Amino acid sequence: MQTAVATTILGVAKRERVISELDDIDTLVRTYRTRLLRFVMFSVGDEDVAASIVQDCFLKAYTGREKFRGDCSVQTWLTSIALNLVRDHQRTKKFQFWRKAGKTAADVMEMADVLPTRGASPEGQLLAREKAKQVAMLLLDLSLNQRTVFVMRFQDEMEIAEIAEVMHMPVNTVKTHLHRAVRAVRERMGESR
Amino acid sequence: MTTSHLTDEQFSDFLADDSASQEAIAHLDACEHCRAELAELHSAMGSFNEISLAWAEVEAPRRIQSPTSWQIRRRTLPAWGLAVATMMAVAAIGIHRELDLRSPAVPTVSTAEVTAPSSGELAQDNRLLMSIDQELSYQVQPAVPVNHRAHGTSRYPARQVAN
Repeated sequence: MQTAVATTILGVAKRERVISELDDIDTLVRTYRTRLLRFVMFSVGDEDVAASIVQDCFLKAYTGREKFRGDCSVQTWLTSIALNLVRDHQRTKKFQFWRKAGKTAADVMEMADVLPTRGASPEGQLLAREKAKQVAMLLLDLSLNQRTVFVMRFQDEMEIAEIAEVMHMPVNTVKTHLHRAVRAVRERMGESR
Repeated sequence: MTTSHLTDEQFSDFLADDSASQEAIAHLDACEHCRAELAELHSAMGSFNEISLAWAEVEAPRRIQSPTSWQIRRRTLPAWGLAVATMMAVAAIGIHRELDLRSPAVPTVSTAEVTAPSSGELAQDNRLLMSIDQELSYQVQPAVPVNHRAHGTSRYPARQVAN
């Protein structure tokens, strides 16, 4: 009985602490914008749209911070909000148009060209860029669910159970999407060898 | 020694640095094909993660700013609140225009409220008006002569002017 009460008190205290963290919008944005932008970028493949979605995500999180239950990390909670916005966006006709036009692929390719890789020889940098491009292009061929699970697992290093919670899916469904994504990537990389 | 290669699930565990099964680890030790494939995937994913993170580190501060107080206020106002505010604004404009169209300081009475007077009331009103007229005719005289008026045509009798 006492343990249950203590757990409840700790839970409430933790929630209060996190809500106060959410109250500081400037710190919230500075802390999480990099990872969120990367996640959304590889979901929608368009940097302008990604930036707009992340901006909207912070606004939504801040105005709805009272709804945060504190039973997952802030990063996970923000990712789930961003994912909902990505899903909304992908239902729009505009996204479908650009997808057909190959705009998304071009944006991702440009990203790899612009950035230097740290501490590598020119040949090593070129090779690293080519590999990064290859993965980015492979991701765009996956379904949204496969791509999202793949990015969450290997880029954001989230646990399977965490991904299942964010995506509102059973753990086994997440595993199925992940293994199909890995198979597709293996096959495509095998073809290019 | 197993004849089949690593499954997608086992590859996934290795890529995520998750605990792989003893069987998978034993296979990887023995199978050069799977080791080469895993090394290539690891390398590609490493480059992808590094470059994508570097891109986000450059772009995020440039593109993502804290929402302004105006944006937050706008989002905080619920949809029904906006609807009510809009309706009130429209109603205020309508009332203002209605008041402009009416004559100033003249109360209007709808035609439905006006009832026709009875003949008895009309006769009583006429008698009252005539008595007031006669009373005024005897008590008040004009300040200047009205010579051009023809006698009998004026409502008021001609006045004697003192010289």
